[in-house]
Amino acid sequence: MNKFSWYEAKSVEDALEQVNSTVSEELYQATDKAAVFKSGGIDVFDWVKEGLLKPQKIVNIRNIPDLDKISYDPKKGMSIGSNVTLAEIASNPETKNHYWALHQAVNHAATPQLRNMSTLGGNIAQRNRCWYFRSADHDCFRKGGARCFARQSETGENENHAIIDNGSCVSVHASSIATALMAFNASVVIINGKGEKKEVTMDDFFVTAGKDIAMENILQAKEIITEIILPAPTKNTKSAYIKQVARESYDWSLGDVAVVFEVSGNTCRSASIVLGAAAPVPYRSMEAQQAIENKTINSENAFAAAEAAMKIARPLAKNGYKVPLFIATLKQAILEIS
Amino acid sequence: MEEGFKEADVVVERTYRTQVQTHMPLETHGVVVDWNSDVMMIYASTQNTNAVRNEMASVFNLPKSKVRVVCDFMGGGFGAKHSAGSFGPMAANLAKKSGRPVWLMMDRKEEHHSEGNRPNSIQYLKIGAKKDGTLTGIQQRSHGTAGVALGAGVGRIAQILYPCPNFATEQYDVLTNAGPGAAWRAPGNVQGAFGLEQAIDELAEKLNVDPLSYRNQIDKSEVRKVERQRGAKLFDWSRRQPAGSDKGIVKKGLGIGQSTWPRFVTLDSSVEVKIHNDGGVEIRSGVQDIGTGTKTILAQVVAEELGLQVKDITVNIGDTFFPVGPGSGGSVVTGSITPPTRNAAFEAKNALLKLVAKEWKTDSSELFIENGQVSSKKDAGLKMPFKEATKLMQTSQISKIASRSDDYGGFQQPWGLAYGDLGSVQFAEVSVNTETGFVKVDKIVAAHSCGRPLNIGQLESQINGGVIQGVSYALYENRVMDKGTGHMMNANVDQYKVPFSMEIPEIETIIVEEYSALSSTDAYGIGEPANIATAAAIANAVYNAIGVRLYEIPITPSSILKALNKVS
Repeated sequence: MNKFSWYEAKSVEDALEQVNSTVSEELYQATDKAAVFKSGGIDVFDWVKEGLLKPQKIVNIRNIPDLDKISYDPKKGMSIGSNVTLAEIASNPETKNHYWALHQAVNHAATPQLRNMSTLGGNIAQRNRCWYFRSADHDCFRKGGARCFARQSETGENENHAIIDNGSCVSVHASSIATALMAFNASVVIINGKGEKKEVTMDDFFVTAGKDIAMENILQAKEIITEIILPAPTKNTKSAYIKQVARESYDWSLGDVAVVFEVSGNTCRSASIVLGAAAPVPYRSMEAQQAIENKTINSENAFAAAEAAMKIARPLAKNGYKVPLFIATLKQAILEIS
Repeated sequence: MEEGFKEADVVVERTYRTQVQTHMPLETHGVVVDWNSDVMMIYASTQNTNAVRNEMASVFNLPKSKVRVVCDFMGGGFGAKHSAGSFGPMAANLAKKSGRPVWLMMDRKEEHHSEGNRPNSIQYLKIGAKKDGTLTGIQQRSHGTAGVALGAGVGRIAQILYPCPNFATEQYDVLTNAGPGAAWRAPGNVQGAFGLEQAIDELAEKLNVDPLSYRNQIDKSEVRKVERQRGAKLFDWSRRQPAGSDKGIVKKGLGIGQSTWPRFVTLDSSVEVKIHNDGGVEIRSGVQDIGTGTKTILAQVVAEELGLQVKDITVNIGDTFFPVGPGSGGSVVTGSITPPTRNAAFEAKNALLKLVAKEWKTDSSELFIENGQVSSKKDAGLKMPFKEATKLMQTSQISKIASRSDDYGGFQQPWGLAYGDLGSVQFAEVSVNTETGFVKVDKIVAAHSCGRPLNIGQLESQINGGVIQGVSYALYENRVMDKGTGHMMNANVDQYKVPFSMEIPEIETIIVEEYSALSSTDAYGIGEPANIATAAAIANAVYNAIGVRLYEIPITPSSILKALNKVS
């Protein structure tokens, strides 16, 4: 680990003045002059400890006032400040009452200890899971290198990797909470150094590897997430979330699904279905949504939708099991709604 | 060998594969060396103070009296911490050069890479039996890699668990440019049991007999017979259904696995028991407490012998300035160090009783100590508190050193020092989700024997630990090595998976007391026996659940779904 200075940001403006780069930029082409944000510090310090990130300055945004508020309004929906911890979301009764899938996702993220430390902003902005990407010994595409080690057919250890959109990069997005947020059509509020505010949907927040190999989201150097907004549910909104992990106690997702339906009776009127750990970014399955919309929620239709979601799956040498895993998990999640 | 298979009516011929398991104790390997004075002082995380002392004395050409190794508490060893490593001499050289104490501990990545692993195995097994079940031949051929080290065999379990007139084994070490293997809780035998116990299960099925009944027929061990009986009852083996017959998506399965481990003893095991003239009692030995409670049982043994309470005994061990103790390997410690501890306490007690006898003008053979009082068998009126008795001493202490050096005529075997075997039988209950491939171990019943149990709580705790490590081996741990670059991809605590609280099954233990009357405590270790049969029992249970056998560990969602033909 290199030595770095520490700056305690007092406000969003103060923080944006101090910072000059993003973790993504630094991982792609290290400068050793970087000043980067740290919120919960979970992901940033992993990179620092591995020696892949060598910041000159860490700008601590964890203690900026007013970014740690969580509020719910039946008409406007829910607003979660970017510094709200996962533990706070997990124990929030409004989340449990109105956004069941998010409640489930948060409660299955990491460990109780990590949930006490992690913030929602940091969670959705963390970098992808791939042990080659996260290894100092492997200079992969995402770090400005010349190859993807994971996709090598003879040697790639890709059992945890992507089965969808796995072209230039086969890593999977690390946030299982983002899976649920995207299913609820949540949006991210971002402020830049000029004080300009923009609100983008989760679908637009994430950037595919094909578009830009250096990053997984749109955040630029002088930008900061201030809040995440979830639209208000109707009385017919129902949701479910299931995460499959090797170890229940604590593990990264091998495949997780979030399903948010507008129902009338036992019929799905509109569907929002997102798969986590399937692709380099949380993946909205239009195929599954179309397959289940205006259909009765039953075992047969749930299975058909799950199969539709997997039609475009192109597994690598060692992750073929994810296809039946997703089919079983998505089917189960849809049936939990009925 | 060929004769054996000619006689056979039924033959099972399979290849089993086990993974590389890298050591991940909470405390990594390392030392602090302070070489400012005449004596090289080493604070080591070690399971063998004596070996580290001898190694460092040899490397630096010092008399053993000028090297002192101390290990007060251990953060986990499991077989990999018997040596000074390369870090020991490095730290000592730096301490000499700098004139300052040098702290040198491995980081987690270094620990995974360089500080030891259980080598993998590819085991070919062929077992033949007559129609009536009589074994006619066992042939074993294994290959494994301990990286740049040796020791990738699969142990003696196939040779000795079930007597067979024809047996042959070939065990090959394959050298590779990977981290070195090291001892790990029953080296070789854990791998060997995974193959053998699955093959025996398959053989039983071919013979159309229950796998437990078949073991009753071919296993000659009396202790395992009792363990099978008691275990089957507690586990309710009778509810076991034919393989694959559970109808649900999540299928239940039951399995059994057996193992054996010799009653190893280290004869060079010494201990000093001191009675001070203020009533204090002290135990001193170089033996370290690897974390299983050696300190506690030594205090128990001396307290029992001196008629005192455990809290009255001070235990100072893990220091090579004290009499040489055994290394914590081979499950030898309890069997090696508790007998001389009792013997030294006995001699110290006799010396004290002689002083009391002189005071009371009687013979010391009439005296005994109970509940902290010296008493007389002949005169109930004579009483003296232990503390008062120690004031009769003319010197400030009575000191007696005893050694385990006597073999008691039973331990010398052609291949080492051991007496008989410590039999173990484990039962596993699993749930397998046939849609997602996840396996959950619901329950393990572990029936074990280790002579006279000295501390039931610690014993059960060690069995729990062995079972958990077995679950970990069967389902989770795996060194993932990139074949292209030769790097271990999961050299951390995050991606190198071990079970946490929710992965740990319900564990019930059964302790069968089997005495040998060959030492003054008749106690033996349990560390290794507790770990050997678990993975095999789980694999047999998985087969019973889904009706398809997995010949390779770790068993993962991927391997289950492939076995069920669900991965295209």
